[in-house]
Amino acid sequence: MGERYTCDANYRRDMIGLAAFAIALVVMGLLFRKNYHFGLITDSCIFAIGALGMFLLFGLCGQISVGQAAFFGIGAYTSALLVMGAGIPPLVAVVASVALSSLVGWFISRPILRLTTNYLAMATLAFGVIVFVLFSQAVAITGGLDPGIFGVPPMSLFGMPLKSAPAKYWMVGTFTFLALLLVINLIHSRAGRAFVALKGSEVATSGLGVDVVHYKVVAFTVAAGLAGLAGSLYAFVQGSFNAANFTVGLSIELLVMVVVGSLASPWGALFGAFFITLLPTFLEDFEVYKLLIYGTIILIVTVLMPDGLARAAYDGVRALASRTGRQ
Amino acid sequence: MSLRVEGFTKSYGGLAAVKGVDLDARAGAITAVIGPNGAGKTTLLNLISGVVIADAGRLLLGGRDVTGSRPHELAGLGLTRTYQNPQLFTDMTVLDTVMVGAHRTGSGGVLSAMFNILATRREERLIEATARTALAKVGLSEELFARDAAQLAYGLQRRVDIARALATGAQVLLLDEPAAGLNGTERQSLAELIKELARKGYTVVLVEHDMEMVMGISDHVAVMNFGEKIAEGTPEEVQADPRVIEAYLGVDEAGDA
Repeated sequence: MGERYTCDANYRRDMIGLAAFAIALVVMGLLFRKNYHFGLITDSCIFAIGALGMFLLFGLCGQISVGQAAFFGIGAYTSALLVMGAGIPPLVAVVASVALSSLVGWFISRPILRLTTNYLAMATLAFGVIVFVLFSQAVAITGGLDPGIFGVPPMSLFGMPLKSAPAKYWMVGTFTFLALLLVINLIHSRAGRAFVALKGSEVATSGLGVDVVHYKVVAFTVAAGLAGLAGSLYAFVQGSFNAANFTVGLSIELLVMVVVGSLASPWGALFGAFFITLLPTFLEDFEVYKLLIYGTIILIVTVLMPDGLARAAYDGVRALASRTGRQ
Repeated sequence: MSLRVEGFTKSYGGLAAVKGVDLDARAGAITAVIGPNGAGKTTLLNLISGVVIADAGRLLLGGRDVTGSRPHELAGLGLTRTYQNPQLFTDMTVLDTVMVGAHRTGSGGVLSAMFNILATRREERLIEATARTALAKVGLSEELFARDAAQLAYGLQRRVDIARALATGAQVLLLDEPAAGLNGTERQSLAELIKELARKGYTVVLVEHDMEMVMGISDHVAVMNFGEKIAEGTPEEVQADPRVIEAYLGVDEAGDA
């Protein structure tokens, strides 16, 4: 705590966190022996990327979206169709997926971000539902709900297919690392500060020379792009999927991840994504009660730990450390 | 940089909140706007700062017509404001809050922020330096920089609000009731700070209820009542004006000064 409070010190702290995350990924990658374990972390990472977008939009900017599954789906379909239909290299397809979902996000953000709070939630929810209907009804393109899309070739690097579970793990881990790096860079810039400021007071923020509408659009666009990236990776990792994977349920799950983790930092989004993705595997014996346990956890977190589980855990560890330190 | 308001008018559903108000504020001087509650002072401030769009009237900044500009554009042109209730951002430290004010010190876009790390770090240091200079001007010291701005004592919150405005680099400052909610000592040191800002060449427009402060530090006072400017002049002239005395003490309105 003795360190001087500067923008560089704050940036450095998150960079150390990023390094720790990278080390954790490498250690897990070296220790894991079962494909099952690689798969769990791969899935967690994919959702973490989507949750990072949600964190920017909702956590920092205070703009809620209950329609992120639409962008996730756009990313997944774009990747699958480009690779399978047009023979485009997978990495190029990933970039195209991010670009397209960002573009769609940018396009709808202008009218939709005139709304706030519950109305914004309703509008994004409606958007998510409309896109879901398109996914499930445009059978000629998407395969609808059944059979959907299958046989997406795996991601490949320099012509080498990344087919095994560990290969997918390293690939998705790398993308998650990069996404986290970009998000941290964004937080520690004038744009990131503008996000937090406009959440606090739009009037005061614009009075200081910040174009509030511009930054809201930017947050929505970047969040859509990250959801699209997650969807694209999902397509390559799963190989097959259908419209049912992109329902409102996914949008809500992404929202729950940041609320449960913490709205205040990207680490909360990361924590929440891992928590929500891994939780069901621990609850397998309680399949029937899964939703009940889910709901209870969310209720407990929002009521007792309004700053999120990640924050509560951090505070708990610090309190413990200072107590043992004093003895 | 001078500020000139010509014939500002704003009505809400047939009720004129501000009616044909002219105002001139010079650089290096404190121009106060006073008046009983509901006189239209805050509406006038909202019109000048672009928060509310005027029905009629012109706004000139340094002789340039900037009528109809939006708040963030006005800030870029050299005009910003503070708030009656200091509207500090939640979950933001003092330094970061003032760095928001220094937003226009930088120019990097979102893609540059994400991908061009070195340029962004350079820009951040520049923005931080601007913020530190502004914080020094209002007398806030290093040990407060990491504190949550919205959790500070009220007097300090006001200073953060002013520092945030100064960090924009604007030369015209609109201060909306800066003394509200402050105790005697805090008012005193705030008055000193405002005088100091005028001495440094800022154009200060002060909307304030505290008559002692207004009469003590203002170079020019405009008095409003029922949306119109009823008098103006030096503090002495205004205090002797029968229309002003009537507005404040008259039987029809409840004076609150």
